[in-house]
Amino acid sequence: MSLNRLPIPISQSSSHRETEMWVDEAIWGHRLYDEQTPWLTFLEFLGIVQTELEQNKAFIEEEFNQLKYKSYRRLYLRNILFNNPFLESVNAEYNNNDDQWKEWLDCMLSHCGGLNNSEPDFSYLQKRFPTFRDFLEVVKFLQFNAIEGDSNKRWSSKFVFPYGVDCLYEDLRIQSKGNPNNDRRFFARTGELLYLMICRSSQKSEILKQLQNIGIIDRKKSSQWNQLVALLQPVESEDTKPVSKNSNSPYLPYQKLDEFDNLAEDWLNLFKCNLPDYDSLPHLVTIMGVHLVLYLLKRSQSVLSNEDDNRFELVNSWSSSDSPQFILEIVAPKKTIIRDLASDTFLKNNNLTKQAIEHYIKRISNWDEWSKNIEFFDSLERIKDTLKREFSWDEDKIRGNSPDELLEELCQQAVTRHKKHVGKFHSSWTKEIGLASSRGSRRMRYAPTDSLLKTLVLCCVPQRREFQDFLEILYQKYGFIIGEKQATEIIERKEADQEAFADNAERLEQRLASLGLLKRLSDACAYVLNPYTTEKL
Amino acid sequence: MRAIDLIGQVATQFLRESVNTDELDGVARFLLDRLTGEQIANICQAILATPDLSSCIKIQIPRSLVEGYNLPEEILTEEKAVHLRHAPCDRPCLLLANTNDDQGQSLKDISPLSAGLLKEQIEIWVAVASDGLDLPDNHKKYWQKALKGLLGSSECSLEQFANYVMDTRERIREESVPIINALGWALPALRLPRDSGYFDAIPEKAWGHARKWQDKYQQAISKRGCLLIKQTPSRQPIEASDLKSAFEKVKDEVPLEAHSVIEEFIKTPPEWNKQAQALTFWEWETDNINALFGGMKTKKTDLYSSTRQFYEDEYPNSLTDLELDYLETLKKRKNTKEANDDDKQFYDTHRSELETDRSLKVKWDKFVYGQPIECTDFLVGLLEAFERLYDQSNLQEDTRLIVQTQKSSRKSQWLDLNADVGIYFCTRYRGIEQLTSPEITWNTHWLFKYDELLKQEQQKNKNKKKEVKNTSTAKSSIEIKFYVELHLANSTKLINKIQLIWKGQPNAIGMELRHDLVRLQKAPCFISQVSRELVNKKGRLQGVSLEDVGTLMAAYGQNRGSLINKYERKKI
Repeated sequence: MSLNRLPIPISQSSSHRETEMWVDEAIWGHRLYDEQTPWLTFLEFLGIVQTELEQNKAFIEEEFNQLKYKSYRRLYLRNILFNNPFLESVNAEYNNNDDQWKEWLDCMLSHCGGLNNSEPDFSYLQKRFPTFRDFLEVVKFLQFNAIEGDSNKRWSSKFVFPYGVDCLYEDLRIQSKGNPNNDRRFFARTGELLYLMICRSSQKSEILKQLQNIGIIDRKKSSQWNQLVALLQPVESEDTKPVSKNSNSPYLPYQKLDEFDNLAEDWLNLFKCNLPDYDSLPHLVTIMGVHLVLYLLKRSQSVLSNEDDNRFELVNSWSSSDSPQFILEIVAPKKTIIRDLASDTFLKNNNLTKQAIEHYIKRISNWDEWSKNIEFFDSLERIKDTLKREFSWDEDKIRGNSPDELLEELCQQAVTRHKKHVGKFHSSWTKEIGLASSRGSRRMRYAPTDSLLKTLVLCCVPQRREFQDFLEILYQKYGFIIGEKQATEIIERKEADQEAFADNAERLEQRLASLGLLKRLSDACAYVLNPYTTEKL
Repeated sequence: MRAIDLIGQVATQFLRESVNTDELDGVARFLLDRLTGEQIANICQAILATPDLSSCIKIQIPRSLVEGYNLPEEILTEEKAVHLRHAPCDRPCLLLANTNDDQGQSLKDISPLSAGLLKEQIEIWVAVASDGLDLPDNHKKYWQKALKGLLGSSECSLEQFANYVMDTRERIREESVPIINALGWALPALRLPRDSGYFDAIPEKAWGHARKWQDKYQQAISKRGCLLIKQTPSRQPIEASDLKSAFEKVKDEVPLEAHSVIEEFIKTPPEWNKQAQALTFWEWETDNINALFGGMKTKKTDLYSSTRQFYEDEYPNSLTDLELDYLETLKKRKNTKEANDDDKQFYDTHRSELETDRSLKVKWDKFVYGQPIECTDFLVGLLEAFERLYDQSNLQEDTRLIVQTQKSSRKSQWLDLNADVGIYFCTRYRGIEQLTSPEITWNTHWLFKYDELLKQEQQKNKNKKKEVKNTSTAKSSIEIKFYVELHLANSTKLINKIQLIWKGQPNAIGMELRHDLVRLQKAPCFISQVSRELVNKKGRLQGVSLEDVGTLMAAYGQNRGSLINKYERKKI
């Protein structure tokens, strides 16, 4: 199968503020970003779905890679929740309710950020809450379950839990002077890519229906929690109206991929579990993380096999039908061979993206046009033009006296750039979703946490599933190797004994049993159970 | 003999020891537990080739498991192990095989013969492997201890283990090397670099202690094994470009034939592969393969070689023969921690040249003056320096002290200092010269006239638009280095010297001291106040800290960290 890349949007191909070359973006899109955690990606995604839904455009992509959407700022809410450290001290210092309100409002007016251009007015709050203490309790509650609430991020990068439409807003940079601006520090477009992925999956309408059902993106289904958050915001204010963004559209290079459909399918599997209230959200986030890591690695493999570009011959040693493999150590009390193998595959996968970048650039020298250009007397100029066209590489930065030197120079710059963010995506995201850890060892390795295991069970077990079947489906869907049947290749290479993998699977069995997700029946048959969809007798 | 045959022999020997045919009551049942088809086939063949054992063991192996290994028909079966475990058996011993773990639970009670169990039969391994080698008994014992240590340090696969034992045996058989060296030679089987002399580091007395072996294997895995997959022992990735440049440096030390192997190795991605394996076959120490990775470390140089190098590069032919002789003696003195008079003399005569190389100067300073005293309060540091000087010299005679700065009278050196830090020092400690005179002589150049120096510079740069105030907070810009010397009174004889480093804190309160004093001078009697910055940049409450003026608020006419506001007469 040969993949066709979608054309680079016009605005991107000319000089563009956010990208000085078009290499990472061409392979994975604009862009995957390591510092945007899975939760922040999900919030960015929800924000887009919600404002698009308001205009009846949710998941409708009329033209590829032309997404323009609005987003909310909700600076009143954010100042109250995250830039409001004197709430407690005012409460302790003054006894009288009116004094408390007065003092707090004064503090707020002098300290609030991002509202400089309008006249900030928080007095509506006093009318809505019977006492200052009630107000305090509500704020404390929302602070307590905020996303990134405990982190040391700036206050404008903290988010209230997405209870509903009134909780969604964008990440901003707020300076003491001037308008708040969108610096894409933590909403760095990974959520936009996620949105486009779902847009291009075959089950998008079903996903939309389910998201509406939870009540996060649909105003008509606003929950009591959402109303509580709405209570903190002024009515009919500029602050609660969506603002258009003045920036380029995101770019997802592929029109159709199995990865998009797999992600959508797993989300639907989770929705089918009918988890109460907002309980499905953490699972949606985790499994989305797994699929984005898979997307990252599979795209790397497809570049390495030249499958993404029909100008080059296919490389057979990289077959894209092989999914990336992950050897998972179910943490053992002492060091095992599985631990070493797990960290070896981690290392291998972690390097895959860098290899892809190098291959993507260097293979250009195998292209017919390249070899023709070299024969001309002005070969260097022609080569420079080619490099500029292929990789949008800034001409000023091109230094080198021969085509090979130029290519080497470009490759080095691309790798340096890659290492800053996209190159770290695999390690930071696998850690974030609980797939990798360095527990009990100095090396990072794949070692799933309990919460990831639970998510996997919910996604892969409709009701119940025989344990060995469960291991097999984890391998088929995600390339996770836990038991000996999935590890035959490794055992045949004589890197480990079957026994070691069998013990690994046994540890998983015990862990699942202790989580209440597995039962071994008296006929020695072990079943993995989905606790939310128990069979009705 | 191949390594896989070794596994068959060990299993056979194990079974023979377990089956005591005379006293058997009922049928002894064994299960070849989760071994590969090849291993099982080999074990079966080994048993069948042993007449005394084959007659008393009934073997029943699932046909699907050992397809293609040409085993005799009578030992193959279609039945499952659960069926066979209690089927009638006409021989004293029954051997089954299992890879399908669906039956695992039901087969628990049959004695398993698994990879782990086989590896643990160290005595059998050594006995089988040393067959025909004519190895002395104590060497066999060492071999056993080594293998025990190996199993304690890493969980290698059965096949790797067999290969290791086999390679050790072959080495002894072909080259008749001592067991200690053969074990080091065979390390590539464990994916570790070959190093015949590796285990020589274990003292002969300790050859019988498994623990020592275990430590050595562990060390090889954590310090060398990781290098082959291009990770440092602290698990940081090693870049191909680093390896390349390191290789260029040490190329001459490595045998010519190994060059292509190393070049191939550098090119490959960081994972275990053929190229990494090819590298393990070269001797780590004797072929200097380790230099490839060692070449990346910065070489530790001693004072002698770096000084020599420095003079060769920067001031060729400037040293006299006498001085060159001196440097030679410096080379011979291994313990160069304490400086003698010759050292001090050399240092004094060449101080100005040495200053051009900062790291070399620091080395010499440390050598001549000993560990410097560091302080943030100059007075405290000065007292500490005095105390150390008098303690060390233990004198009854009259003495005098000289304090001098490392910076000479050259203005440019002083302008390297952070301007705020310089002004602070000059304001805070001004007058100390007069107070301590004549007991202490101060050679401090611009230090206490720093305000003057800045003024002069300002005048000079009047025409330039850009402000030239130095705001650098680099270590060298906020430190002032002093030499405190103890001399005999009325003579120039130096008794002892010490280095004192004062460190400025540009973020702490005090940088506004001079401006505050100037304002106070104009209006000495008024109430001043300072506001605090209640909320930090991340939106949290913060307390006041004198170490960090960021917690104080700037106001009109008052910088952060200033304690005296601008005085304005109230209009009445």
